[in-house]
Amino acid sequence: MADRGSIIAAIFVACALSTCARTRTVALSYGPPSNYSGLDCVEDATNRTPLVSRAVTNGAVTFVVDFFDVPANINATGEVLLRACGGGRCTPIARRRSTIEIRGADLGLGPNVSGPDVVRAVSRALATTPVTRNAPDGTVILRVVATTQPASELDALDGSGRYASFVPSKLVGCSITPPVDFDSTESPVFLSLPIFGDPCELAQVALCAGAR
Amino acid sequence: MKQPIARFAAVSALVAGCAQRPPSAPVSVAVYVSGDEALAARWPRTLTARLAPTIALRRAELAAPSASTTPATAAAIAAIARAAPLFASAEFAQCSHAFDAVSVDDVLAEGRRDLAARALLWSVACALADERPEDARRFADRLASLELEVPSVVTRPDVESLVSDALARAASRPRVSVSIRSVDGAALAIDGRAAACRAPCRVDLISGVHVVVARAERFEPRTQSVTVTDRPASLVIDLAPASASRASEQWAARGREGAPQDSSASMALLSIAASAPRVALVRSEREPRSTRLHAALVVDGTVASRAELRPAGAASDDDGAALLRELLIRGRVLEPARPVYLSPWFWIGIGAAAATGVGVTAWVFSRPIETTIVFDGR
Repeated sequence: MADRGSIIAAIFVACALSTCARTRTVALSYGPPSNYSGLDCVEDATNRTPLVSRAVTNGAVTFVVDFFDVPANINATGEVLLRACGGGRCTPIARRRSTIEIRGADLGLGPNVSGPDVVRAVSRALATTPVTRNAPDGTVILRVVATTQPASELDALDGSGRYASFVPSKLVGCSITPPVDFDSTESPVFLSLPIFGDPCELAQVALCAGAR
Repeated sequence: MKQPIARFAAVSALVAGCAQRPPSAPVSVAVYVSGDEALAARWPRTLTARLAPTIALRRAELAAPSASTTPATAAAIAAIARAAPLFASAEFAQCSHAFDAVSVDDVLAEGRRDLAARALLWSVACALADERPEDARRFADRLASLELEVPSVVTRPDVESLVSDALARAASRPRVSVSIRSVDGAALAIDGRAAACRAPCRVDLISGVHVVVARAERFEPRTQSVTVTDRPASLVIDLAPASASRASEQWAARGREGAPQDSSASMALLSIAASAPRVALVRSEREPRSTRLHAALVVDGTVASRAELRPAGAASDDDGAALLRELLIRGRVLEPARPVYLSPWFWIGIGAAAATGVGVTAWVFSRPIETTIVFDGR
C-alpha cells in the first residue's frame, strides 16, 4: 500500500516538476526581401562601401540583441517607432541584453559579398546560439545591432544602469522587429530596417542603434 | 481586532458542530428463536457483535405461564363428596355446612355448570332436610335462574318438587336484556357457558344473579356478578393488562391452537411475556437443502417489520446477522447506513477537491511561459 502511495506521489511530483513552466520557441529571421535587412547598408550615398565590410576588415563582429518595452496596443509602423526611439531616446530593458561574437572567418564573408549572402551567412552563424531562453513578458521590440565593438564593451552597465552607446564608426548593421509578444506569437518574427529611401545609409543604421 | 475574534468564534462553532456526539446507550432487543435450539442459545450472544454497537441483543426469557388452577371446582367436588355420607347419616346440618366453602359463582366462572348444578341440588336437599325451607327455596331458585341442567340423580320427592316449582317460576319470568361492555372483542362467558358473545354485546337473562367472565388476549380475565331484575341492565367489565405470566400462558395457548407464532396478536403477547418492548422472533424451518428463516419484530406491542432469508444449508451467524439487520432497519430500530452525501465529510471532500481543481487549473494557466528566441539558420 505504501509502495503504491509512493509511486503515485512520485508521479505527481514528476508531473508537477515537468510542467512548472511552459516552454516554446520563436524563430527569428531577416525579411521580408522587400525590406532592408539592416545588414545591407552603405556608408552614404556617395561612398557606397557596404558597412558589412567593416566586419571583414575587423575580423570579428558582435551582434547585440536588445529588447524595448512598448505599449501592448501600439499600432505604428516600424519607421515611426524608429524615429521615436532613434538617437537613444528609448532605453533597452536592462539586463536582458545578449551579445554574440562571431569571427569574420566564421561568417565566410569576402570583400565583395552581396546583401542576400550576408543575411544567409549571418543567419546561419547566429542560429547556433539562442538569442535568449526567456523572452521578456509583454509586447516588446527586439533590436539586433551588428558592430565591430567587442562584447565586453557593450555588456557592461554604467552607474545609472545604462549600456554604453554604440560607436557609429563601428556599426555594421541594425534591424528591429515590429512590436511583438514573444510569449504568444505563433508566427516567425521578422527583422528588418524599416526605412524609406535608397540607399540605406550609416546614418539610418546609427539612428536604429541609438548611436551617438 | 473584532474580525479575527468573530472568525475564531465561527470556526470554533463549526468545529464543535462537526464533532461526534457522545454515543448513547444501546437499544436492547430481545431475541426469541424457535425451531432450532442451538441457534436459540447462540444467536443472541453471537449476533450482537455483528450488528451495530447501538444494538444490544439478549435472549428473550418468557415468564412461566400462569397455572390453570381451578380451586372452586376442587372445593365443590370435595364438598359433594363430604355431603353424600353426611346426608345418608342424617347429619343434615353438617351436610349444609359442607357447602359453606363452595362459591357457585367461582365454579361457574371455571365453566363447570354441571358441578354448580350438583352443588346447588345438594344444598337444596341438605337445607330442606335440615328444615330450612327458605334456604332450600333460595338454592332452588338460583339453580333455576342459572338455567342449570338438573342432575339426574335420585333425590327425595320433596326436593324434586321444590326444584320443579323453581324451574316453573323461572320459566314464567320474562327475560331481561343486559348490555355488557368490556375490552372490544373480549369473549364473554355467562353462567359458565362457553363464550356467549364478544364485547360489546347484549344478552337476555332470567332475573337473578348471573356470573359473567370476560377474557381477552393481553388482559387478565375477570369475573363479575350481575343481579338482573325486571328492568334492562348494563354491565361494564374493565380488564387489567395481562401480566407476563398471563401473556405467556395466552401465547402458549395460541401455539397449541395452531396459530402462527409471528401473527400480530402472538407477537404482542410475546412482547408482554418477555417483558421487553422490542422482541425479534426468528423461526427456523429446516428444508431438505436449505433453511427458511422467518423473522418478525414487535415494538411496543405492534409488529414493526418482517424479514425472511433462505440460506443454503444450515443458517450461519452471518445469515442471522443479515436477517436481523434487515429486520431492525425495516423496523426503524437500526439506522440504515447513511448515504455518503449526507455526511459533512463528503461535502468537505467535494469542496477540497473542487478547490484543488480550481487551484490546479489556475496554476496550469498561470505557469510562466519561457520563450526561446532563435535565429532561423536557413
